[in-house]
Amino acid sequence: MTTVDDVPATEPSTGNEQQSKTVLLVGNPNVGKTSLFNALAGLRAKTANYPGVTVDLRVAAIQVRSVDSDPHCQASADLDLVDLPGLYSMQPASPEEEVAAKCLCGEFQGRMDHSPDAVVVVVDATNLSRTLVVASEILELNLPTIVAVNLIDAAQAAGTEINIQELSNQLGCPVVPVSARKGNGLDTLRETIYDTVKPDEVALPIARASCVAGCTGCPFAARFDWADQVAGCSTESRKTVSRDLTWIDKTLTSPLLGLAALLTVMLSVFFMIFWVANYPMQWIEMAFGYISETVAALIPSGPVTLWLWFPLATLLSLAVFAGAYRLNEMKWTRWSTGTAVAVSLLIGMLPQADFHSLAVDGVIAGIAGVVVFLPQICILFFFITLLEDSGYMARGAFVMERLMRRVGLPGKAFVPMLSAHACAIPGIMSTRTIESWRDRLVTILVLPLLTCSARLPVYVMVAALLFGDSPGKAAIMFAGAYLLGLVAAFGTAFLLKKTVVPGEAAPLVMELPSYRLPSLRNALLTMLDRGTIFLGQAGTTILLISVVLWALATYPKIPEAQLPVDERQQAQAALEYSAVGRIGQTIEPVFEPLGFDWKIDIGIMTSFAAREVLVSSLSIVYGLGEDAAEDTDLLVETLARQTKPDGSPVFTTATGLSLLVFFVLAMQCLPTQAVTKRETGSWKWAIVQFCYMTGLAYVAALMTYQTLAALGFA
Amino acid sequence: MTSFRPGTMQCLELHAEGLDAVRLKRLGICQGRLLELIGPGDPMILRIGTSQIGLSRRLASLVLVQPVEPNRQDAAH
Repeated sequence: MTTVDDVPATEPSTGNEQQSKTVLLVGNPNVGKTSLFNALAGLRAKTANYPGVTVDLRVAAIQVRSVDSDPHCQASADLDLVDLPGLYSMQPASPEEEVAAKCLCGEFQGRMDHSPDAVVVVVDATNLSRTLVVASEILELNLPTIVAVNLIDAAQAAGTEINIQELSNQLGCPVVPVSARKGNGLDTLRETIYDTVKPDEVALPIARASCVAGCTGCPFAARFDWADQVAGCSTESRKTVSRDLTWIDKTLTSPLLGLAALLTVMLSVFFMIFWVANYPMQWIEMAFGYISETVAALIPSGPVTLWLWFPLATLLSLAVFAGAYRLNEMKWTRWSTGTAVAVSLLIGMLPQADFHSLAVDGVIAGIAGVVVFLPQICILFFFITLLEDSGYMARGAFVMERLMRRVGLPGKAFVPMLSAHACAIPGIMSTRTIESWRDRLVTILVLPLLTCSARLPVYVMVAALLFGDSPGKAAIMFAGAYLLGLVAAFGTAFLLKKTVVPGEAAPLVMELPSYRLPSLRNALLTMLDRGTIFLGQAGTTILLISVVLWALATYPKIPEAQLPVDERQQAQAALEYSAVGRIGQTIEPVFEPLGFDWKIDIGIMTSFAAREVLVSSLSIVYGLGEDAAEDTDLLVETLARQTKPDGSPVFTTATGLSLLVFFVLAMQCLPTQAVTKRETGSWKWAIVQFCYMTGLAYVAALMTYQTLAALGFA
Repeated sequence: MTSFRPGTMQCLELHAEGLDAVRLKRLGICQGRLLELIGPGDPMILRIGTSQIGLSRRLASLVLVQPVEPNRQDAAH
């Protein structure tokens, strides 16, 4: 360990002037590597995109120092601690593992183009021999390496004593016992990292012997034998009376009881999500309502001199751009700066009333539409992380394997599919646990077909419209909509397997980690990270599209002479006159076979970015004003009264169900598209997803309408 | 391996190729290792050393094993 003698006291903090060193944290999945990273980094961690690296890595700029009696003379080193994805061997089997292996070898461009300055290999004290296998491969890279033995407290409780000195001798590198959950040993680990990377040290070449050198058989077997031998030499087990959890495990992995347990656990999580998330969602809506009122009040309604107004509006717009770029970590290049300046100048020239509408209906409403999903996403990730850390999630995937395989999906796709019933976004984000890229892609592509909570307002509207007087029929309609989403998702997965993404799902071979008490801190930090990613990525994209949609629904403006006297009809007339209204009328023939008139087409177009917008759009186009959307009875009554030019009602059973089927299957959610782009690395799959879902929705709605019309329901 | 009942066996050969072979080997299902079948079925549960591994029947059919006598088991451990 570092002592005062190692660093001359006359040259304090020499490390601070040096460029940051890179220290990689690596180890098997389920060894508590991310917990250790979180314990070392805390809130300093952020998700970074390295150029050329398709997987995001968590990075924290931290400072490590030697322990000194006089804190003023402490030498320190700044370093970037990188949490690499879990790795079983240097021969990768998933995109994440490939990134981890390449980072270790320094095979990337840019910041990761050199070998790391140090590597911390995390192993599990309760499962030492298996988790040491990857350490043998990493030690052979001859990099400065430290082995951190995590869960040392759990091993001691189970009667296993690890001789750290002996282990260090065997491995030929420093070994530090830690407990990430309790925070034990972290100072020693920091100190050891400092010792390894300290700037005034002359780096000596490292040449470690390979444990597979001269071996003729399977190199993996040789590594396992080596790990068994090393672990055997350095551990001592006492027999302790421990609770036998085998029966619990037997139950949780049995085909029937295990399935029942999984459904119970997941349904309780869902109940929690809907119940708990309801409150913050209401607060967010209230907060945004308050913000739009305040902003509306701040924008002067009376005439302001152009010389004052123009720079003010331009600056405000530039500030919004700056905020969005910062959130999305976009650089100020020639293009991005040019776009920001040009759009801001244009916004500066807008009439005051239009600026008001842009701020309230475009920007604030757009941001609110994204932020309102945040509570569900955060709560879902919180519970999923707890379940994953406890070791239960692997059992869930194990139990679901047989059922999911029939449609060409792996058992691990179960959690994303269930999450997608709350919101497709966390579902897509949690597909990262699926190893095979093909399986992950199929899962991402079908997830948005499952009924998410944003579809519910549309379902409620159609149910009230068609079966307002019959709760039984309405319930059947709801269940049918959920079932249709499920059938469509499984059917599409099956078809994708036969066509666009050919091949079988990778057959299951996975570790079932030991049960452990999960760490709340870890779950909270993961939740925070995922929430930030969502806001940054989906937030900026949807802000842009909201503004574009606002412009399409506002311009061209109806001439004053043609404006009706009634205020409600003014909004209706303005929307009809705008680009969106004209497009709606132009494409009426396209949607006519589905039973939709051009007013419903406007609803479909304006809800392109967020499907729940349909309700408020219909409320506007049918002349009720936006506020009436909250009064379902009034809206439904008005919709039911609508007639076609020939006098027949617009919303027949056939039209209503056709609209329902369309909204069950259509993409109509821009944040999801942004997240698909992010997780697949290109817009290509987001576009594929949009096209196939819209096509499917169109055909299914067409079949529904035509069949029902033929049966006399139109 | 698919025809065996719960108990300890030794892995003799692996007929898997490419990614499947890597995925099996890195979790300890490779030549010469001792595997204990503790939860038969599809997928099945194996104990390898101190860890438990879930394994689908399709991959298990690629693993050639021989049962290990109880006394040899002790010697091997």
